[in-house]
Parts: sequence; C-alpha cells; structure tokens
Amino acid sequence: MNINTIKSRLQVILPFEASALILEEVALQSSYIPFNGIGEYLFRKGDNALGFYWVLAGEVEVIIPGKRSIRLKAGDMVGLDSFIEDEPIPFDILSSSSKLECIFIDRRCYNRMREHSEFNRYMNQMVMNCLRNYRVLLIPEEKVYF
Amino acid sequence: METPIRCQLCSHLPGSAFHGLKNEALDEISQLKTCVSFRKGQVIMHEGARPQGVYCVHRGKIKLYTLGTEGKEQIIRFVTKGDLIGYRSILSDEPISASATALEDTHACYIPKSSFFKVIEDNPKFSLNMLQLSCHELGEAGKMITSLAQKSVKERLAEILLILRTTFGEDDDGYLNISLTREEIANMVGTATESVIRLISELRKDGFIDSKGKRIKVNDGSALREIASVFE
Repeated sequence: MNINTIKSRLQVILPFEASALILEEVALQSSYIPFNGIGEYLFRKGDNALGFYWVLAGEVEVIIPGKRSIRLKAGDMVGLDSFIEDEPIPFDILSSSSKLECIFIDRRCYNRMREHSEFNRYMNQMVMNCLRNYRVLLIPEEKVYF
Repeated sequence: METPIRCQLCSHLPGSAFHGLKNEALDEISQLKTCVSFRKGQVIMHEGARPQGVYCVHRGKIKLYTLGTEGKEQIIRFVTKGDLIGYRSILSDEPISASATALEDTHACYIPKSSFFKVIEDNPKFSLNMLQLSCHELGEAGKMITSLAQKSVKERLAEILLILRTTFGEDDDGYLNISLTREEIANMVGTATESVIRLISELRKDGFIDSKGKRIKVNDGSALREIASVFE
C-alpha cells in the first residue's frame, strides 16, 4: 500500500483533522501489514511488545481464557498497553475477519507521534480504551452499563 | 523501472532464492505475488511484528537493523536486488528480529505467507534454496558476532567498507554504490559517529580511501584487508 493510501486511511479513522506532515511521518515510519484470513496471529502470548498494531480495516480478537474475548476494530490499537508497560503480550491476539489491514508502530514512531499534541491526546484516549476493555471483563455481564 | 509481472523475465532471478525453479513454479509465483514500492526512508518491516509475507527486492537498497534500549540502531546488514526479506520469521513462526527501512526508492515483489508456503511445499528445489539461504545467513551472523566481540573499531570499519564494496559495487568514478551517513556507518560498525568520522579521516590521510560528502572510494583494497585482518 502506498504512502498516500495509508495517509488517507489514517485520516478516516482519526477523530480529528491531522496535519499532512504528521500523517506523512506516521505513514513513513510505520509498516503496513495485510492479514489474509481469520485466525492469523498478530501477537502470540509471551511475545515482546516492541510495538503495537493500529487497525486500519477489519477486526481483531483478544483471546482471554475463561472470559469473553475482546473484539477490536478499525481505529483501535492492539498491544498498546503491553507496549507502554514494556511487558510481554499476556494473551493470544488473532485476526477475526477475512481481511484485516494494520500498521505496526514501533517506539521511534510512537515517540514522534507523542510530540504532536493532538496525537498525544488521542493516544491517551486509546490507553483509556484498553483499560475500559479489561474492566468490562471483570464485571458480571448483567451489570455492564455504558 | 517497475517489477516485471513474470518472474521468468526478472533480471535478478539467477541470483535470487527462486533460481533453478521450473517455469510452472515461476508462473505460479508470478500469479500469487503483488508488486509494491517504498519511498526512501519508509519502514518496510518492524522488529517485533509478525509478517504476513516475504519481500523479494527488485530495485533499491534496504538496511536491516535492531533498535537498542535507548533507540540506537545496530545495522545488521544491507539488502539489495534479488534478496528476500521476512522469510526467517515466517518459517520459524516468530516475530521479526530486525526492522527494514528503504535507503532509496525501492521496488519489491510481495508474496503472501500462504503462497510462500505453497511454493515451498510444491518445489523441493525452492526448499533447498531456502535452507541454503538460512544457513548462509546463520554463518554471516556468526561472523558478525565474532567481529563485534574480537575486532577493534578500525578493523571493523575496514571490514565493513570491503563488505559494502562487495555487496553494492562501485560507480563509474570508483565510489561505493551506496550512500550512507557517517551515523549509519557507525551503526553498522557498532560505535559512536565521532569515532567513525575520525577513523575515516585517518584512512583517507593514509591514502587507503577517498571521501566526498557521503561518498566513499576504496583506493587500496589490500591495505583495508590487512587492517581488517581478512585474509580470504
């Protein structure tokens, strides 16, 4: 996928108008990974979180043994919590749609993104989303409210 | 120069992992692959990700590197036309061990994981080529470990200049056919940029090399071989 397509896909998933410069930077510094088929591993339990995936299209499933799995979709970040904590990935994470497109963000790209205030705010929101996903799993299903 | 649609027409076929494959097998790969391009400076693969296919480089130069804890690059090797990247991780079902970034505008053929495995299963010759390639890279990694552990910075720099000459060749003026910053050379040698600047200046004063901006010319290969303690 060429840089311009990645830039336009990013703009679609972002809730704010990002500057062309930062979009270009993210598109150049990230790597595009297309997954074909359901059940392809994004991370296996125990993988080092040297980066995280940012979903451009399709769905991802976080398999948590004995609990409901977490489903992530376009715009979500996969493995962000482990990456920030610098800890191994705690669960298997697989593609759950026949077509899944992601970009992989490493520390260097992440640090550059954090230098931009809008991205910084957005990343904080993404971290909160990770926490919310796990919190939902701790509460019995009938008591979940949003 | 775009990548050829049929692998049989690729000028890099004889030196690639696909050499020796029958026409039918090459036709099959031609149908399964997609042609992709990367801009200078664009990251192709990241350490820690799980790749979903391999890239066969058609044109351009790529650096493979790992990032240290403080974000410093250690360049492992360079990749150029006819080379394959991403296959080791797919074969071992492990995350990628080194990131890859295009050093210049690059064209490559992308072969998805499932297609790559199909070609391996259907073609014993290709399996053997992959085995040979893996063993060769293992040997090169061993050499690099020894070099980093036992050689001085000057010895390593001399060795790397010789490796760059062998890998990329020279242009019409005799300069290395790859343009690297001093920082990138330092990242390959595994030392500070300042040390590389000082040593390049020393080698130039001795007349063993010439340099003009980022361009470097090897004037005396045998002197560099002697400095690098390379006797092959």
